[in-house]
Amino acid sequence: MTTTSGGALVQRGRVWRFGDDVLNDGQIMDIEMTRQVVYDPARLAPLAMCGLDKDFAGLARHGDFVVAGRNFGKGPMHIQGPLALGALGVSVLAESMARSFFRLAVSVGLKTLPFAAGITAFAGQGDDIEVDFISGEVLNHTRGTRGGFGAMSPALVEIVRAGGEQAWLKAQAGA
Amino acid sequence: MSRPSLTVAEKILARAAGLGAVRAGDVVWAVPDLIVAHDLNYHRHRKMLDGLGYANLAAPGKVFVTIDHTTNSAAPGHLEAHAFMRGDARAQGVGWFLDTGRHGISHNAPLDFGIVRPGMLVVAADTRAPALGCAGALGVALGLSVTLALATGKVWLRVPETIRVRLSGPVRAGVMSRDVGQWVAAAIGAERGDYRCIEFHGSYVDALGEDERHTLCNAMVDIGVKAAVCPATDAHGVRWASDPGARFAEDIAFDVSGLDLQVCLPPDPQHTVPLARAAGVPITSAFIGSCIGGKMEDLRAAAAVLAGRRVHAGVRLTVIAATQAIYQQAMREGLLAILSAAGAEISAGICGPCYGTYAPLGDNDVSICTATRNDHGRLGSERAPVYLANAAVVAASAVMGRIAAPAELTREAA
Repeated sequence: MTTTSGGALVQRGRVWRFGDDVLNDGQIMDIEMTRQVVYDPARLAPLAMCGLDKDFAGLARHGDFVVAGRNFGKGPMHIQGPLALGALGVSVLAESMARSFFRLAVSVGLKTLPFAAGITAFAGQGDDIEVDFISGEVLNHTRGTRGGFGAMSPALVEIVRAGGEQAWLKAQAGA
Repeated sequence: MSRPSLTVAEKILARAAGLGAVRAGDVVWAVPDLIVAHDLNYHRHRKMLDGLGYANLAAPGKVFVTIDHTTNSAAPGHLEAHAFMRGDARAQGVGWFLDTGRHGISHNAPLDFGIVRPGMLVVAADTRAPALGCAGALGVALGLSVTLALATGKVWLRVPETIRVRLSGPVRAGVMSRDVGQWVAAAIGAERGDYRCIEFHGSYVDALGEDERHTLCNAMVDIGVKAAVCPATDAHGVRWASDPGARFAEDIAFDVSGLDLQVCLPPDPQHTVPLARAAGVPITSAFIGSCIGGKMEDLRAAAAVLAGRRVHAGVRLTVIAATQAIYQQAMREGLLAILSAAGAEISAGICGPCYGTYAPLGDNDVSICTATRNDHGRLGSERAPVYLANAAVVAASAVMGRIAAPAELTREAA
């Protein structure tokens, strides 16, 4: 679940572990969706992480976390992968994230801790964790541990809280 | 308090963000000095923003718009986009709108107008924006996020770490900036290049003109860089380069004086190998053009090879200057006459085959070209292999009907 009331941006859910160098094209998303210029999140969501775990999209619950190693989302700047993860309601915590994927993630309002050094040692498959995206603090309820993984920039908190850049722009235009 | 030592990327982003200093990893709201758009994004972004409540551009005087990817297209969607762009660019009063006739590729044309200055922040939707680092600017590709700049005049940017790369030359005769650029990009690799700014120094770089620096910065795009910069001094005498004490992610030195001619094997520009590894492969198509390979450096090199020779009967050679200014300069120098006499087709297609909307490859074609990339399908058929090389190698291969070094022509003639 995600809580945004009172300025907080806190999410609690289960961990789905992935390795280093997870590719945007072919692993996070079927490249065919890019070729067919599919932008509908509802069509993309069932394919999230399909190149690595075909069961993930069906089993992941809103509020769960993809926890990955270095260079998450490497490859071309294709928006279908971030759209799919965002539509599932999962967030991404990674040791490091490819530039292209990070920008797209903010664009679509996908919550991330993109440079969470040490997160793969901190959170194992199936762990119950709670993430404060504003402070970068993560509680591992399964292990009873607590760690800091880099606060999200206030500018990005504002955009992600709005639901992505387009939603942020719309809110700004109306403000 | 003494001023901290900063990288050139940190200096440019601090200035654009109105801050005294920023550090790698910081996220800032920066005000770009130039916003570059083209016919695969401008109309889509403007219509999207209109729907979000932004009827107008925030800073139209900073917006540079080109029709460069679909110039020769007959597709109704493209023609509608061109019409929308003409009307909207006029209504919004954009700083520069390059319609067909005063055309140019968006990554090259700003240089013709002399509007890219050292220390500037340039943003664009298109991936090859880092090429404008040739003039000492920071060029950043934003994809959809460029809409933030179009709508509000500012954009969020994460300050990149910098890799300082020193290149020592001079290079061997016939080795061009494309050979060096592809070789350096492959040597650094995506693992180290991603999210970094590459800053070029060294005797090789010092001796280069703007065309060659543009090629060098442009070639870094394929390893995921945020930007690539050749340091430069602005009109006020300010040197836009990293301070001596700045923190670098890496400091790398390459001696390029022994480098051979290079070819990028399909389907990845990072598959850069000495030309000998691909020599002899029969080809049916050759293309000299694109933002990285359609500059004066390239046209002069191609004309030097093709003067007095004929393109092989089994090869279609297409030559496209990257901008109208380059086309005109090539005409004044007599290069187009030489290329045409050799049997080259000279088109005003802008991006042309490099985006597959002009002279696309068929299933049985094999291409050697100066395009930016050689992914399966980028120049047409998914089945047609594409080799990348410098313009002189492409010209020589077009004459021979197979991948060949220019020196082979001299040997044949002897």
